[in-house]
Amino acid sequence: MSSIGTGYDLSASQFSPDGRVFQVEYAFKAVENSGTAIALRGSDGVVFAVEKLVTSKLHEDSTGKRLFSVEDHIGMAVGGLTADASAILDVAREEARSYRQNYNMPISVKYLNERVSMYIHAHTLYSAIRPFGCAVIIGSYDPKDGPQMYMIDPAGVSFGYFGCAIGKAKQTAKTEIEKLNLKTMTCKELIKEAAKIIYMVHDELKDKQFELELSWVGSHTNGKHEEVSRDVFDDALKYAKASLDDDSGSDGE
Amino acid sequence: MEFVSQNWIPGNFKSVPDTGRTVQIPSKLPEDIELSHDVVQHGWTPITTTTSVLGVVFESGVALAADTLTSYGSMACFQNNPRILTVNQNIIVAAAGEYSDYQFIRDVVEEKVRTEKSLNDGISMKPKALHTWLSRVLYNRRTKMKPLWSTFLVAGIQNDVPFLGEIDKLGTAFVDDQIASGYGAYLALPLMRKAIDEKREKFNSKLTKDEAVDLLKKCMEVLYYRDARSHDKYQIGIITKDSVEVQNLALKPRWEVAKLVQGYE
Amino acid sequence: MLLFYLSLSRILLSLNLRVYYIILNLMNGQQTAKQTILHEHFEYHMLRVKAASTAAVSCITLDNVITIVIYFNSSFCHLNNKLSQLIRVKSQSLNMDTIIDRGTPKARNFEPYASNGGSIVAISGKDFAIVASDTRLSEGYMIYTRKQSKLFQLSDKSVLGCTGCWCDTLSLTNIIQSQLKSYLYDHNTIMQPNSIAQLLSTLLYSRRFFPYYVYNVLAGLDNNGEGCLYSYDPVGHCEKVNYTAGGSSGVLMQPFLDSWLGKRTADNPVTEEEALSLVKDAFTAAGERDIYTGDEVVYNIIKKDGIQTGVVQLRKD
Repeated sequence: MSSIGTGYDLSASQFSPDGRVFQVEYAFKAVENSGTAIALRGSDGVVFAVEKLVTSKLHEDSTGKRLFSVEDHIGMAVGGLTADASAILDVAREEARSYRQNYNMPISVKYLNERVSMYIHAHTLYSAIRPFGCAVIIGSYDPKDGPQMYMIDPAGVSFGYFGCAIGKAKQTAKTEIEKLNLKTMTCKELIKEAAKIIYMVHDELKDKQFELELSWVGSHTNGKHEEVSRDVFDDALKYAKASLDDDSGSDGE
Repeated sequence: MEFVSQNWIPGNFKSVPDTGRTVQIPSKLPEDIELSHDVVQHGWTPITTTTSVLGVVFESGVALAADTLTSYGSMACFQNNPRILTVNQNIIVAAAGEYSDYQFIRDVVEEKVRTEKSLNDGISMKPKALHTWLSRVLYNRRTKMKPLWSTFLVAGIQNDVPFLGEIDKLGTAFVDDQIASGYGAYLALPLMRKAIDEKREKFNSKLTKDEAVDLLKKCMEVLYYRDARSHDKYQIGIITKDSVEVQNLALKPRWEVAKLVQGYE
Repeated sequence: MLLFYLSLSRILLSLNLRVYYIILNLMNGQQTAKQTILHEHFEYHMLRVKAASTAAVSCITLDNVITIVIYFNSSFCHLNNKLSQLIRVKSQSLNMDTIIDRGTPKARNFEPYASNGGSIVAISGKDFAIVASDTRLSEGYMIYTRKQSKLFQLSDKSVLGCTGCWCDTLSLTNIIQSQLKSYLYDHNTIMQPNSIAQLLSTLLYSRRFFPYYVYNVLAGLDNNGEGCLYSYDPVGHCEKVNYTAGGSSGVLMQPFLDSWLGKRTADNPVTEEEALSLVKDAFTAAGERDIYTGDEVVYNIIKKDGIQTGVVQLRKD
């Protein structure tokens, strides 16, 4: 890496001569090492899918989850250092809590995004602290504003998305997402595609085991962010595996 | 405020930890004696109040009843203020006393429940836990001499067994099969105890759900006739192992009996 | 509350001072004397208010100086206030010296204590200790519940009986129980009754100036396996006794126990059966006279091989 040894990468509060902040760029690298997480925004909600890499067979199934609820109505998918991510999750929850206390209504995901972004950004400004090595996707649905989704990167930059991906295979995943006609699809269709994409981008050679995590928030869940039900999960899984077999079958011919 | 040196008292140990309330002695008397410039600190008396709550345990659950009136002194100020709170699938809570204090507790409890939900571990608060928590909150506030002027009934199901407990503004907490606060303790509680005892003595069983609800309706009517701070619109909250519901009800009072009351002319 | 110490001789100078309520609610036995004095020297006004919530006066005569103590109830604060202001004006204009104003409390109409009734009797013997409480929890004429035991098992060798202000009971016993857990985890052994006795005394005294309004009796088996009993006052005075009664019927039951057990000597120790029947009789008698004691008696007999519990029925009216 060009930054190493230059002396400009020792602190988040120092630019390199060509205007980069290497500590923040290293934080991006931390995110790129993690399992892929994607989120798709359809016509009636947002679906989240995470490739949770299982680093040891000794782990319990349910540990190390990367899909969370900030509040009832907001889902969050994270990638990167999970400890950093859970610190961000705490901040987001506190933000949502204090918003509700002040205004007696649920926080909008737009405002939450703004607050969490600025918090992450503030950690890229000082020499004494380390930037967060994680990226987060937050999404929600309400009848008035429809589905909304934002991704925040370690620099504190955020955009609204129709489909986004973070982690190892984000490029491949994005290519796959771009093939979908997201605006017209419903959550029920998207959840299958999301599962399929995670299975497709998973690299069996490098990471042996992984667990699929699926959740959604949309009109069909009454605007609540939930893990998908067992049935939906199994269907999506079946669809993902079936389409993978098809692909590999056609490759073989 | 140089009273310390002036009013030094022998035996007033310096090293004894301050465990009581600090006594503040004004060094100078207020010169203004107008009543409008009252030195009395106001507050700490209930302002917007609600009247009795009732709770009764039946064979498969617990039922609570409370009317929806909030009084401002003797004025029937807000006539649609519900005060039965569904906390989660395990707990319902009803409150009596200062309405704002109830609202404060409600907000905190709702926040606890949200926090708990977002952890997504499938564990939810149980009635005994909330009962104890409330008793600690209210006791701590009374010890600070800043009481939350409320009585709470906590009802729910814990390990398949119905639970009903009360906490008052001091933190006095207890559990029983029938509880009533305020006027209800005088007018309704005897009716409830009678109904429950009779059922136990005659049939060796507890009230059924319908009997419990009918009993509460009867009690609310009795209270409405004699409690001047009560109201004809009320709620009954019913919690069983697999259901939580809060019904909105209205009394059909029979005031014909009023003319039979004589001798006060 | 406001507490004024006024020298009567100075008050007499201010004849046009209107003193409200003073004669309405006299608290001690000097009513005649005071009323005479007041009638002679004061122009007083009786407002049409109920006497119960006004003021109390006591009068102390020492040689020629007569001191009146006016004690104001916390309600009727605006009138108290008016009075206090009037007195202040007078005292200022007359250059009166001593007015001690205890400051305005944070909650004028809030009484942090409740008297929730309940009684405890405990008797210790050679190889046992018995402690019993009734199960009525009440306030005023209201029975909260008929099945609230006031016994708290602290270990397999000690039981605490705690009664008085129920919210303080709950807090105190919670603190003790958590402290005992800490002790167990720190020392890998349960705390002996004599240590618990000291702990309890310290806890009570820690609130010397805002006391736990509770009467405690700690019963247990000491290191030698002999029954031991500690009796407390609300602020932590601790005394090792052989038998005691406390709570709302303490004053009724203590003389009863005195008459039966007061002259017992070491060579004629009280037996378990005798102790239990005394406990039952004490409560039966108390239930007849005290409305705050009744419903049921629960007793714990602490012995080497465990704690035996039992219930006796009392009056339920």
